[in-house]
Amino acid sequence: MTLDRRTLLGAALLGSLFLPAGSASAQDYPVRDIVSICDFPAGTGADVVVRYFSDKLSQLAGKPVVVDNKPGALGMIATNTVAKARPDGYTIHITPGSSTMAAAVHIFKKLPYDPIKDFVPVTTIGRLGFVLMVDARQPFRTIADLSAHIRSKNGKASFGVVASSGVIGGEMYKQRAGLQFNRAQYKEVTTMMNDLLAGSTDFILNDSSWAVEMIRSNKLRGLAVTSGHRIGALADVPTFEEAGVKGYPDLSPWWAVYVPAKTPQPVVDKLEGWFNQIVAMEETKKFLLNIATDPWPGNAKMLADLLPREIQAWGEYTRLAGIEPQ
Amino acid sequence: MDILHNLAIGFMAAASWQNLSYCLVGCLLGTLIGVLPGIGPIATIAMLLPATYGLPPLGALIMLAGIYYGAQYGGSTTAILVNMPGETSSVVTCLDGYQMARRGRAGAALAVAALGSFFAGCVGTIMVAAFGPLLAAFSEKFTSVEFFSLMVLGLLSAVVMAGGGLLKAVAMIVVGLLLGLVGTDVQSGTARYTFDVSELWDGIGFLPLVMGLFGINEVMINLEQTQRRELLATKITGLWPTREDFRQAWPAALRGTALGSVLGILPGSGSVLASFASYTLEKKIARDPSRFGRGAIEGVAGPEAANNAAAQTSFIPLLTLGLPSNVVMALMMGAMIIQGIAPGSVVMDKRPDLFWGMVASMWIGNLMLLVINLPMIGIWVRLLRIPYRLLYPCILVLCLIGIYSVSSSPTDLLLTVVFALFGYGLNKLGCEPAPLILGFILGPSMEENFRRSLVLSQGDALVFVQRPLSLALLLAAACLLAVIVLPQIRKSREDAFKD
Amino acid sequence: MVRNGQDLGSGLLFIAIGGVGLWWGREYELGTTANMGPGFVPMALSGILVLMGLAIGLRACRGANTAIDRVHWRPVLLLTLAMLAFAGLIRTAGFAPAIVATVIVAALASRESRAREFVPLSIGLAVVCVLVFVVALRQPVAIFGAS
Repeated sequence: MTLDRRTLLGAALLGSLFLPAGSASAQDYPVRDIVSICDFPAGTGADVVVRYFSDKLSQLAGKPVVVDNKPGALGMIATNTVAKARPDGYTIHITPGSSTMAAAVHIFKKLPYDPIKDFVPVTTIGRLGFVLMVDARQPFRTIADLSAHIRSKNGKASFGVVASSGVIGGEMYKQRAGLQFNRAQYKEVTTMMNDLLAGSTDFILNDSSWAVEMIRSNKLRGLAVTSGHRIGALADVPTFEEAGVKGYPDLSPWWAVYVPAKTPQPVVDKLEGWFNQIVAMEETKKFLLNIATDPWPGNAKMLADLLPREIQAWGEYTRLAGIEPQ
Repeated sequence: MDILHNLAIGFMAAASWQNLSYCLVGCLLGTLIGVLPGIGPIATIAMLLPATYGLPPLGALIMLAGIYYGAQYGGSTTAILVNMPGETSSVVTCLDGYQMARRGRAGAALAVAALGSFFAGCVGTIMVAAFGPLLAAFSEKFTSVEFFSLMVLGLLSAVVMAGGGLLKAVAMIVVGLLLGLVGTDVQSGTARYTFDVSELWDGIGFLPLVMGLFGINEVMINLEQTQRRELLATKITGLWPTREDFRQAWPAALRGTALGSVLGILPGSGSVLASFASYTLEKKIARDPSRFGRGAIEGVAGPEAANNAAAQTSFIPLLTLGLPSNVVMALMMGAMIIQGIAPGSVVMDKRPDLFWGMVASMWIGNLMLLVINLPMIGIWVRLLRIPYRLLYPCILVLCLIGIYSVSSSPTDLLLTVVFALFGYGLNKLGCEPAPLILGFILGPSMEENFRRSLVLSQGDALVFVQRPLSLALLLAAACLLAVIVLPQIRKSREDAFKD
Repeated sequence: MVRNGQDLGSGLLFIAIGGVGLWWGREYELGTTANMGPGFVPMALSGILVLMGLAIGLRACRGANTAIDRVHWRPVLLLTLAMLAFAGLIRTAGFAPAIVATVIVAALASRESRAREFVPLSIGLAVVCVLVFVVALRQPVAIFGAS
């Protein structure tokens, strides 16, 4: 029997597979590909953030970082995958922690993971806000103008949001400003845009990453951001508080990095260092500015302190916004 | 002229050696991965995206566009050869393309698909260059109300393409609509028909459904009859379409191109609707509609042209408004952002070389695809000569890997099993699966737009006839319905008299 | 007298699917026309499907005589088993063993398969798939062992 080239190649390949597993120590980390679990479908704005940071990480770590999209249930499926993954540093999670770690506790009745016990925090990386926007051809310049317009429509006004992301922000505005309006939810931003431009809805809420391009190209006008501070890329859009809606909380979604609980400390330290290096890069600042996200450097300690507070705060927001856990 | 000037800028930018080779590599890679059954353009682009990170912005976009075209054409190839559509819009190509292959005419089907796509691609590119902003303005007119009416029209077109009786076809659409409702309700967040399986919260995946109903089901049926397969393996008559084929195919490709160019710019299901609508149109105006479903060449040429024209014009909303109109465009947008380009009208003003370079590369990509694929037809057809007993296990495995690579979930593999068995049952009962697929694809957005329209109109259903565009779409749907139903009633009355 | 087995069968199938839809959907809120709940559309569609199933089933009594095609159990059962093997093995035994097992079980579905052909085929396909998907495309799966 003669062996052809393909068979030989196959045998060599199969042989080599048995070598690396388990033999490396945390000092050599990483010796193989790192898997970066992403909460959202490939191509969405959030996916872009995960891919950017994964790509930069692979440059610093010297090993490929493979993005694995596990979308569904507002990121719960992906986050649960990380919680149950082997704690060896080869599974990492770059995630909008405000929703997958903090809000998830209140949105789902049965959450299959514990955000505090099942993960080791690495660091925060960035934060953004939701922006309330109106058609740029409308006369409203401020939140006060819009509120007056909504009142004049006697409960017939309505606003659009994509999925559940902006729901809390919009319902909070209704609560705090004492207004009455309906909510229309969309799957696609395109239809949301078209309905707004056709006058079917009066305003929309979406994340600042999306908003920045629409506002820059003068299609929409931003009236307020939900975060407690102004967003760098949208410096002339006031916060709700500044716009005169008293008692509006600081709704700023944030990005952070987590690994499964029991991941060795040296590995966590290495990752923490690398991610802080990435956040500090000029290129990252430019990238984040483009998607209207503010860099938010941090560390493991600071993120560990942040989470319990955030879980409590988002519980309050969901309750105020009248969202029932399911 | 302005367009000529702009296109000249574009060709200057795109025709550098590097960019041409990126385009070639993209088309090749896209085709190679796209022909693996079960792997459509979305999976292909997602897998190859990292390969473009290191390239300069224009090069990366050109390569991605090449991958997209290649993968899409690859999807049509598997649809024709083994009845496995890798994506929504090649479901229609299965209907007559696979039948042609079974009659030993795979070569002709592949050639017509390639030529039709090339022609449509050329027209689509011109449309993007000349009418981009104009068409974008048209797509902005579609609010929730218009989308609902468009979906109604689209669903009715599914009835036309089904054999085996009107009532069964409508029932299959309803089954598809119900399957489409599985998952989390957009408005209320209620999980519907998910049976506590968290993987179903986002709905049933397209691949498990379509692979089960079409691809794997086809393998099961093929294994029943030795005779049927022999047909596939032995009788290959001529690689090239005959003159008669061309005569029948080119008007169909022309009509498909027109439909695809317009529908492609609509968000969401535009390009799917384009291929389905083109098939419906061809079947309706054919002198002998009974040829459809048995290997009519118009049934390949029209939808393939529509599909590809739509693939071009779907770039319009992304490039002019910064709004992706489907998942593939969302992926392209992601790639642009990673490259530091914010998609939207700004690109056209500030980076004309980038914008027009991409438009020019669309045309170059289509040309390359033709050059790559025409000689490959011989190879693909020869694949069918491999004994089926060796071919089918490979098809099955590639199909399962394709499904798993998209979702990484064994649950999707189990769903595939369920749908394969369901499809086998349907086949035994004489029910066609194509209308079900269309119902499944359109169902969620139809419900979403219907309910939202009523929220916005405070429950007034008249809103669907008050907006002129919506009214026109509904009237077109009513006409289509009349055309379908009247002959059926007449026929059944004749039958009744015969008894 | 039932003459059309295909129509009767599909009628019953549609009634069954509609019935499942109605039964599982009974707890979803119906809502109002101005603000429909999550139950409105599923319940309406399920109801329509049951009615259509009845119509198709009744029609079976006077339609043309078409019996249900014979079911061939060997390919159906073995292909199902092959797919289940893939689903079960890919996370536990790994990518390569899953492919080998799937090809072998699937090959048994055809009477014409011969072991001296399909055993090498299974290994060859596993090697090629590993090279394409894991090495070249970097899909996150373990080649051997759990992932």
